[in-house]
Amino acid sequence: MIQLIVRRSVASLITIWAVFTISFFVIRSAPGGPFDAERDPPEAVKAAIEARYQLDAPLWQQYLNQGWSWLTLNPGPSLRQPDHDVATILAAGIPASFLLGTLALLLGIILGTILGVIAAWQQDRWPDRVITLFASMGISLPLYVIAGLLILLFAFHLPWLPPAGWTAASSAVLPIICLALAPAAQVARLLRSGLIEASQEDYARTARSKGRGVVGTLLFHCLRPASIPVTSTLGPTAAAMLTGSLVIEQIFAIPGVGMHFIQGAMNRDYPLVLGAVLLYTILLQILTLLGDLLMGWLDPRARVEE
Amino acid sequence: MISPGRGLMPTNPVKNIGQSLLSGSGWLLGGIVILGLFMASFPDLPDRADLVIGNGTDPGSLHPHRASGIPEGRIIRALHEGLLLLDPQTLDPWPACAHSWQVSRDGKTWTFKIQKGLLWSNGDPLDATDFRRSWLDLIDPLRGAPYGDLLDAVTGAREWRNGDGSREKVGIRTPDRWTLVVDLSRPMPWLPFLCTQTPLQPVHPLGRDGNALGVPTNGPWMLDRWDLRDRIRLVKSPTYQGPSRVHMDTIDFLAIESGNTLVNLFAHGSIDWAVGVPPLLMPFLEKDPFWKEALRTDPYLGISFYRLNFQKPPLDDPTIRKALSLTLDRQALCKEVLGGNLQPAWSFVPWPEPALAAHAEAGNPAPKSAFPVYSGMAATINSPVPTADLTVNQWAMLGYDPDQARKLLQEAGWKVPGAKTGRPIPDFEILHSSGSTHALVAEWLQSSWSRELGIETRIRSMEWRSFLQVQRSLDYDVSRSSWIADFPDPATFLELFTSTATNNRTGWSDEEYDQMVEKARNASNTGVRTWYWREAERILLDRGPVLPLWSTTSSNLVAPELQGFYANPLDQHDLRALKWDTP
Repeated sequence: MIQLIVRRSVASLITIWAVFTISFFVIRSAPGGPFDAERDPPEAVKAAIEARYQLDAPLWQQYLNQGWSWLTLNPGPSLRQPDHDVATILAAGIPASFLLGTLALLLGIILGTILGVIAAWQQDRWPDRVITLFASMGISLPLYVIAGLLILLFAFHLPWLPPAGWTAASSAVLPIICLALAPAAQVARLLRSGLIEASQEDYARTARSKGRGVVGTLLFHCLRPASIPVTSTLGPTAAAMLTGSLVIEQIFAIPGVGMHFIQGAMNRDYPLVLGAVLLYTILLQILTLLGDLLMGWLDPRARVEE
Repeated sequence: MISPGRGLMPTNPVKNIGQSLLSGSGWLLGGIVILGLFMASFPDLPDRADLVIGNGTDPGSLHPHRASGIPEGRIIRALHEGLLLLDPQTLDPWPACAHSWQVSRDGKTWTFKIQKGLLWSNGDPLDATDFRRSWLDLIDPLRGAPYGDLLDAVTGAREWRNGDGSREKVGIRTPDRWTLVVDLSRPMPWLPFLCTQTPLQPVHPLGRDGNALGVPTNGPWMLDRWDLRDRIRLVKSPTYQGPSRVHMDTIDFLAIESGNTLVNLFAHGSIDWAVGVPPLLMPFLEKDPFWKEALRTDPYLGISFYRLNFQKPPLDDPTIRKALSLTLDRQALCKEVLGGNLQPAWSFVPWPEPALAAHAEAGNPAPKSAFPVYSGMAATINSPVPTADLTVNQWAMLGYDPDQARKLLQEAGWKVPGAKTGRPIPDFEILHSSGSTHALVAEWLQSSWSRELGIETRIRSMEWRSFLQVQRSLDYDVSRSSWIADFPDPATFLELFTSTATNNRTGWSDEEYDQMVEKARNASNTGVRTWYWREAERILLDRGPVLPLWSTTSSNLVAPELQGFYANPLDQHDLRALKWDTP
C-alpha cells in the first residue's frame, strides 16, 4: 500500500504541474485583461497597473514567477481584490464550501444507499419506480429550479429557514439539501443496479437458499460488491462538492470558493484562477487516491491488481 | 450449537455491515469532526447591524484611488469624507471637510477653506496638505489610479500624466494648512461635485502604497470587519469631527451578486435596502402592493445605446445609419419588450425634458421641486442641462418613421422590401455582451431591421471582457454599449466621441464635433458653454456613430420605514441621511 501511495503521489505531482501549466497558458490566451472596463483608463495608467503586477514581463517569465510564487505558497494579491492575498481569499471560502460539501456528500451517500437498497429490494414495483423517477430528476433537474422550489416552500410558505445568507447553522440546511440531491440520485441509481446484479450471483443465491431473507442478503452479501462502482465515482464527486458550487453559492449567498472558479476567469484574475484550479486539482488527487484505497479495501481483486 | 449455514457465511455479518456501508463510521466520524470545526465559526457571526444593505458584488478595493465600481463607492464614501458632501435630496454641494469655497470669475481658480480640528480615525490631525497629497497621488501616472484623469483640467496634471510634467508643477497648492487652492487650465464647473466623489476622498499617508486595510479613514464610520464574499461591517468612528450627525451605529454591506437572492432576502426582512432589482422581475414587482411600496425606480444619469462601427460597410453610409435609427420604435422597446420604468432616449445626454415629463406622466413620484439633477447642476454651472429644452422634433432622425427610412434608402439606391431595384444592403452582425436583457434587445433590433428594411443580421453574444476587447479593436459592426455619468455635466457624455477619446471605439472622427467640444470645455460663460454642448450633441446625433435606446433608471428596494432615501439621478444615497422612522 505504501508503494501505491508513493507511486500515486509522484504521478499526482506531475499532474498538478501539468494542470497548472495548461491553466496558465489557457487563461492568458483569453481575450481581454483584468483591468479592462467600459470606461477605459488611459494607456499610461494601464501600463503602470500592469507593471505593478508584473504583467508587462514576457509570458514565460510570468509563468516562472507564478510557478515560484505558488511553490513558496506566496501567490500575491488578487488582481480584482488587491487588498487581499489570493491565498487569503481562497482560505476564506474553504470553511463554508467544505462544510456544505462534506455534509451534502454524507447526506447524499446515506440517502442514496437507503434508496438504492429499497429500489433493489422492491425491484420493478412502485417504490422502485418512484425512486428511479427521483434519481432521474435529481440528476437532470437544474439546481436553480430545485433551490427555487425549496426556498419558496421552506423560507416563505413555511417560514422555517432563511432564504439565503450565511448567518447561522439554519442557513446551511437548504443548500445542503440541494447539493445532496445529485449525489443521492447517483448513488441510488448505481447501487440499485449493482445490488440487482449481485443478487443474482451464486453467493447470494446460496445465502437465500440457507434461509437468509431478501433484505438480509442484499445488506450482508450484496452491498459490499455493489458499492464498488459507487466508490469509484466518489473521489471526483467529493472533490467537486468540496470546492463549492457556483449556482448554490449565488442563490444562497454563501461565501464559498465555488464562485472563484467562474468569477476569477471572468475577471481575468489570473492568480485567483490558478489558485482555484490548483485547489481543485490537489483535492481531486487526494480524494481519488482515497477512493482507490477504499476500493481496494472493499474489493480484494482491486488490491491484487494494484 | 452452531446455526445451520453460519460457517458458510463469507464474513462476520456485523463486521460486514460496517464495511459495506462505505466504512460508515469512518466517514461519519470525519464528518462530525469537520462539522464540529465549522460549526464553531457560526457563533462568531455578527448580530444584525442597524442597517443592512444588499450591496451587489464583493468590493474590489476600498482604496479611493483603486476602486472603480459602484458598490465600492458606496462604502468608501461612508468611510471617508471629502471636501464637500451632496445634499441627499437636491445633490447640491454641502460643506464637509471644507467649510467654505469660492471660485474666481474666470472659473479657473477654486479655493477651499478646510475646517479646523478634523481627525483621522487613529487620532492624527487632518488638514489641507492631506488633500493635496491625496489628489496628487491620484493624478500620479506611476500609481495607475483609473480615475486620475478626472483632474485633467488641473494645471499641469495632463502634462504630468503624459510624461512631460512633474508633481511639483501640478496646480494644487496649500498656502497654509487650512487652505487648498486648485488652479485649472480650463473651467471645470463640476469640481465641487467631484470633491464629493470616491477618487477625491483624502487618503491617510499609511495608504499611499495602495493598501486599504488597516489604514485610518476620516469619515463618520470606520471598517470593523471584512468577511470576504460575505459582508463588510462599518461601525461609528469615535474620532469623527465633521458636520454630519449620523443615525446608524453599525452598517452591514452584504456581498450578494444575484438579483433574485437580493429580492428574496429583502422579502424575508434580512436586508433593508437592496441595490438593484433584476429588470425582468420589475413588471411583477410593480403590480404587488408590498413591492410597489418598497420599489424605487428613478431616473438615472445613464444612457443605453448601440455603437456603430464607421469602418465597416454598410455602416459607413450615413443613409443606412439614419434608416437604422428611424426603424426603431423605442417606445415599444421600453414598454412592451423590457417593461419597467424605462423611458426611450431621444438624445445622447440622458433624461432630457420630454423623457422626464413622460416619466412623471406615467404616475411616478415627481422629484421634489425642480428635478434634482438640474438643481444639482444649477449649483455648479447655474443652468439646466442643455438638452432640457430640446424637443423630440429637433432630432427627427431619432424619431420612429420606417416609411421615411425606406424612402431615404431608396433615394440612395439601396434595395428595400417591396422594391424591385436597388443594391441589396449587406448583412451585418449585432454584438452584445452576455446577459438576458442584452440578448432580448439584440433580438428586438434584429427583428425590427429585418421587418422594416429587410436587412439580415446575425447576433453574437460574448463574455464581458472578450466583448470589450472586440469593441476596442473595432472588430464589430454594431455593438451594445452604455455609459453612466462620472459627474452631472454633459461633458461626461459628449467628450466620449472626440477623435482622440480612448472610449470612442467607433472609428468616427469629426473635426467640427471636436471643435465644438473643445469650445464647450473652454467656455467660462455658462450660456455659451451650454450652446456649444447642444451643438455638439446635435452633430453627434446627426452624423455620429450612436443609436441611443433608453435613458437608464436606477432600481432599489428600500424598507418603507427607512427615511432619508431620496430619488436622485446619480443613485447616490448618503448613508449619513438615513434613519429609521421610529415613534
